[in-house]
Amino acid sequence: MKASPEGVLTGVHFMDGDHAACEGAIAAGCRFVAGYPITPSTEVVERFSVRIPTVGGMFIQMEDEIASSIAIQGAAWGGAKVMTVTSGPGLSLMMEHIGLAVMAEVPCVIVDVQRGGPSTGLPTLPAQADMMQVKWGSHGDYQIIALSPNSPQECFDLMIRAFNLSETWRCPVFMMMDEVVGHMVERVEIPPADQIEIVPRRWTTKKPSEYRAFEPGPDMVPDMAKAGDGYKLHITGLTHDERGYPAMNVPAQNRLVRRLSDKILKNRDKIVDVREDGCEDADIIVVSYGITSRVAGAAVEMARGLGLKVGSARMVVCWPFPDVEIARLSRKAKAIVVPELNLGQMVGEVERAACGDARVYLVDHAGGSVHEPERILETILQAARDAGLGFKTEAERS
Amino acid sequence: MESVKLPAKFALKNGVEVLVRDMVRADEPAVFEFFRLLPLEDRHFLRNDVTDPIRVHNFMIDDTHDRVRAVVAELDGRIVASAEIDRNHFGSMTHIGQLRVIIARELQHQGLGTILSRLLIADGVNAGIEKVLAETSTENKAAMLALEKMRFRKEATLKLHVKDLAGRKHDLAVYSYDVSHIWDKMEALVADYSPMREY
Amino acid sequence: MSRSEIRVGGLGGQGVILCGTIIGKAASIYDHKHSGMIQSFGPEARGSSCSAQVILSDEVIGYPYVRNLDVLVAMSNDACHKFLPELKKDGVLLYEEELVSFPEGTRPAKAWGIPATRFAEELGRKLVLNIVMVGFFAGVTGLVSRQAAEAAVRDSVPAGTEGLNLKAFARGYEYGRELVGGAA
Ligand SMILES: CC(C)(COP(=O)(O)OP(=O)(O)OC[C@H]1O[C@@H](n2cnc3c(N)ncnc32)[C@H](O)[C@@H]1OP(=O)(O)O)[C@@H](O)C(=O)NCCC(=O)NCCS
Repeated sequence: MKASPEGVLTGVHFMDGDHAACEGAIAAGCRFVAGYPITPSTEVVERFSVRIPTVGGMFIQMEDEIASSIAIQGAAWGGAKVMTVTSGPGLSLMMEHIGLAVMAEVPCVIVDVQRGGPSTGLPTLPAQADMMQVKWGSHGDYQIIALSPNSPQECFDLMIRAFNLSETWRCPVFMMMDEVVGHMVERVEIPPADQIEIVPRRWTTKKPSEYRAFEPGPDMVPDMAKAGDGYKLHITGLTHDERGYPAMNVPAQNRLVRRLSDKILKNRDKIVDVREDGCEDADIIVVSYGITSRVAGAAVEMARGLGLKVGSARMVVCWPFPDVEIARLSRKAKAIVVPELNLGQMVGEVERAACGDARVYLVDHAGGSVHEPERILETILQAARDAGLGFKTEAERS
Repeated sequence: MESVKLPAKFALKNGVEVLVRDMVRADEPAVFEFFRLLPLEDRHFLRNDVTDPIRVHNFMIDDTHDRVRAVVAELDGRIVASAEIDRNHFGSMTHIGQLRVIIARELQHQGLGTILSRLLIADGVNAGIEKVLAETSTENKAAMLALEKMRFRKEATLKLHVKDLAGRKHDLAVYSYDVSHIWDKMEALVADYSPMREY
Repeated sequence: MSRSEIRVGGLGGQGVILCGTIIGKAASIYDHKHSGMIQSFGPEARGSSCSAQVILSDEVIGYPYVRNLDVLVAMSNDACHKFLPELKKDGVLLYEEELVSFPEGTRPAKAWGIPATRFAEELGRKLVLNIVMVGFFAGVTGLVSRQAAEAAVRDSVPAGTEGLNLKAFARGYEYGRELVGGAA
């Protein structure tokens, strides 16, 4: 299905990632946002609150993030495509309801413009330190999807993908932005609506008498019915059967919780997105995501200038983790370098997938800025020395 | 509101096309002729006796900075309308513009007054004017309606302020059009507080 | 690879960010280069020091911040002296001449001043001082073309204010061209 032209700001803009993310949401068909503004994500909802009345949607500024994260779920069952927007401290408050969205299979997008933490940390400065929180923050076993844009343009593009993924797989989808991507202003091209592919809500075609709210289709995902359309809906956070009624026993738990995970993991090929550059014959591969991938790009260029075969692999989708892809890369390369704006989060997943085939190096950062490309280069050179690879020195090069 | 590039042709409601251009010194004889042919009732509320060539000359050379722009409309080589917007160049009222428009009888109520006013207001805004004033006797219903249609608001009435030809007194209505909201947006843009927005 | 790093600094309320935005927009949308703008701001920014970093490049921009400052545009004394140490050796300083002063012998070699606030006031509105600076930047450095910058001014300022803003741009541009000895 194509996007509705209503609200699509087709054209070339010079805007920051927060604003572009908002436009992406509107283009994707998002018509309801509940939020509690927090730096550095405020501009997303600020813009939404101004723009959305013109296309017939709604923004509610809630009393807090707990309320925001549940209000969107009500609106989703009412038929709207929904989103909430926050940053670390707000995300922490949302955790309980994220679990509910997983359990009740509520399509929703949660934007996290990451800032330095823990706690209130660095409100106006970047980090990528919520990567594990979005995966594991709510209790219980579950899978979610997380995307990691590295530019304002991608804030727009991936926002559309985020909505499409949430509608397809009926789970919370996270847009893992960061303060730099959110506030950096760049060229953003918004295509005409008829070039934007949109996944509509999976409404059931069954009659109310035949409909079972949590009966999965062949892709393991159940179709939805709109509250108020004559269907009987029972939506609960308790373990439930296919009708949605509480069924608190071992077989029901096994069936439901496994399906919630499997619908993501077994469909992972349709979800993961790793962008590889020069990895075919690389000795060292830099695996990165989000804003760090841009800085990593500068370091990779420098290392190539010194005669090293360095590839780069960017995880556009961080969850589900692209383990198959990383395993393949690590069998070919001697070392993998992982820069991230935290003290080591996704690097653990990379190590798990690499399984000892390639040595994994972390380039950490406590947050508040981005890496200096030289720091990433240093680690690439260290990895090269450890692997016995020769390279020119900076002096030889110039 | 970008300034209209002049000269430019405008088609009026009756199909007549007039040429609107900046008023220049060489227009003096033609402007004099235009004023001379105005009916007494229309001339009566002007500031000057425009049948006096010296007065008209003074009006023409008033190219001090006070005048933001003066334009005329031309039809078959004749001047058929004159309009200007003035401001104080100094002091507490530099942001106020004064609008004056006069249209030849045979071309009144054809939209020309509105065209000229809009054009001059845009110039005023571009010169930093925040509020445009126009005055008219309350007897002059056409002028009042024309101003109201352009979203001017009657801001004050000076009671029994002006005398008509017969010596009867009428109220003077002071109309204003506040354009400061246009600059409020610019003010918000330069606030440097939050990232730029372009909704 | 050609990369130019610019910092615009001044007081909140002077239109520092708008100035940086227009430069970036001119380059990326109208001159078809790559550009990125990042503003440094805190919750307390109104009235206090603030700045924007603009990177212009022929290639995709990796590192988004200023590392080797080519041009400093200073609209206040504080901003000028705060960021001057960051300016590279042969970097260009553009400053608001009536707001910035230099202790004996500290004025960099390539420094060009403009009474931008006065020009803006003469044109009718102090508010457009940042647009005078955009013009001055384009005129002196040539890093964005006049056409591109004018187009960027036109679509960055509120409807109704284009005329005065374009005049402000022209004023700064021509003043800059004259200073560096180019034809306006
Ligand atoms: C007042 C004056 C400037 C208006 O200019 P104009 O070109 O005649 O007016 P427009 O055609 O633009 O008309 C705008 C509105 O004014 C009203 N209007 C204009 N002439 C009118 C008339 N003769 N009778 C009733 N209403 C009239 C109408 O509401 C009209 O809208 P409409 O065309 O939708 O009916 C012009 O009539 C004039 O020069 N009058 C003599 C001088 C004068 O009084 N100047 C006013 C000092 S600012």
